[in-house]
Amino acid sequence: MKGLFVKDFCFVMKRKNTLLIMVCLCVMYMLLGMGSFALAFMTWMGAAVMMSTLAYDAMNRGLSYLFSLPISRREYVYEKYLLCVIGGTLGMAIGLFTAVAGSLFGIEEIQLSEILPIAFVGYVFMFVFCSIFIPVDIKFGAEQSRIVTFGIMFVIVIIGVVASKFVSEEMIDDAFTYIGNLPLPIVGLTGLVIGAIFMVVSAIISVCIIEKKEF
Amino acid sequence: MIRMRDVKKNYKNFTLQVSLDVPRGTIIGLIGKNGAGKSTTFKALLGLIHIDGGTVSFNGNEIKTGSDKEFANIRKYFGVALSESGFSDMFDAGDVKKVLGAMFDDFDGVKFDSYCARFNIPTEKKISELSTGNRAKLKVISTMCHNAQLLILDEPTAGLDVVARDQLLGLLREYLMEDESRSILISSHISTDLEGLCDYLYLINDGSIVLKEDTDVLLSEYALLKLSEESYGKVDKTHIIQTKKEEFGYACLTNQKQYYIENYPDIVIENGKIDDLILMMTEGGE
Repeated sequence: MKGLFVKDFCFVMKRKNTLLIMVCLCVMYMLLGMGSFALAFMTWMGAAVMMSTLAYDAMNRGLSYLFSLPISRREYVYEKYLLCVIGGTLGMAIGLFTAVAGSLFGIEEIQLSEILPIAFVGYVFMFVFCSIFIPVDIKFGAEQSRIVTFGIMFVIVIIGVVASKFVSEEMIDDAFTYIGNLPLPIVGLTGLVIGAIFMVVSAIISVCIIEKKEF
Repeated sequence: MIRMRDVKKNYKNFTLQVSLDVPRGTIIGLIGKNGAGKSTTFKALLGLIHIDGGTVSFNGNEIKTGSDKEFANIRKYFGVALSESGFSDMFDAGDVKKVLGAMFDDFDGVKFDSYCARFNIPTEKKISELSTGNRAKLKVISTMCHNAQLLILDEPTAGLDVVARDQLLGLLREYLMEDESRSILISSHISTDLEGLCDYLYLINDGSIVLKEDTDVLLSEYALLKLSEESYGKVDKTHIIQTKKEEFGYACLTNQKQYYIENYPDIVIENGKIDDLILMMTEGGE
């Protein structure tokens, strides 16, 4: 797995400009008083950049060569999930650092007690995001997965619209109030467990997909 | 070292069914026209495709069909260069060195650098910016720096000029001489490359091995008989393997050149060449 991490690190280093733009955007959002958004943005973008290595691997039939090296398909899948979690975590750390720095310099007043739950929710959603899109990418490849992604987004919107017919705003507020009243460690742990369950189920699906593939 | 027995892979319009041995210390050439099944054979050997039947063994141990983990374990003893696939074009030779260094325990970075220097491969230039020759050399060099027991090279000389081909083939001979227990399985459609390099040749056509022969035997005992209609009717056909109708009469492939030289001194006999062999075995009829 070490070789896979080194390979992906090399890919990421080839996109230094993208990383720089991300950090600049993060600072810009913070300067515009959108520190919370910057935090979630960085978490997701961190994971997305790492996920893009899936497309680089597949370019020019690269997977054939990759799987002629001493790595198993299972290892490959696990490495991608770990990589995305690492990317998301680093993104979140950079977002937090920027937000705290902005607060210290008096650009945007931020309370850690406010921003940490946002960071955490963004982090859990990053798990869900990876859990959906890694298997899609492995199954359909870079090109087709974009179309499938639009399809998934469409389905999510439809579910949201349908759900809004049955769930009133009051019910949502009540749910948030209920969650807000729960002890923070329980909410945090539950969120992490849900994220982890998504990831594990998704990883199992991804392994099944890739083991059936031929290169 | 490697033994493929009745390995079968069914596609919609193509079936691969091959048996192939790569003994220690030998160079085996796999020849055949485009689409004959050379790359598919390599893919089956590497576990890149799921085979529908047969067995693959490495050093006497049968690899469980469909066990990607077992295939991954044996691949650490291989050095592989595929014709249409390789490291990302975004990488440079330096990146390749880093990745292979992390993939293989025995990877020798100094050796890699010395090969790059020897063949003038710039280590900081993207693969996409390298010449065709340098790209091919980099692919082959990448297989040779982790003490691989078996090199699997699919068309490593494709698209190269004669000088670059000669350099690459020299490199392969050198690799084998360093350790005589090493083996090479190579495919190429450039017959002269294989004539001078391989110990044995397998000819594959439509997914099946149609001929397996010692290269020296092939070059010394195989011949093409060029016969008029009249002489075709007269010659003994016992030792004729394949016949093809030509404008002048018949071209016949034999593996008993001496027999025809001695008994039919008047007929035209051309020494066996791999190109003739491919043509006769793939285009000819009984």
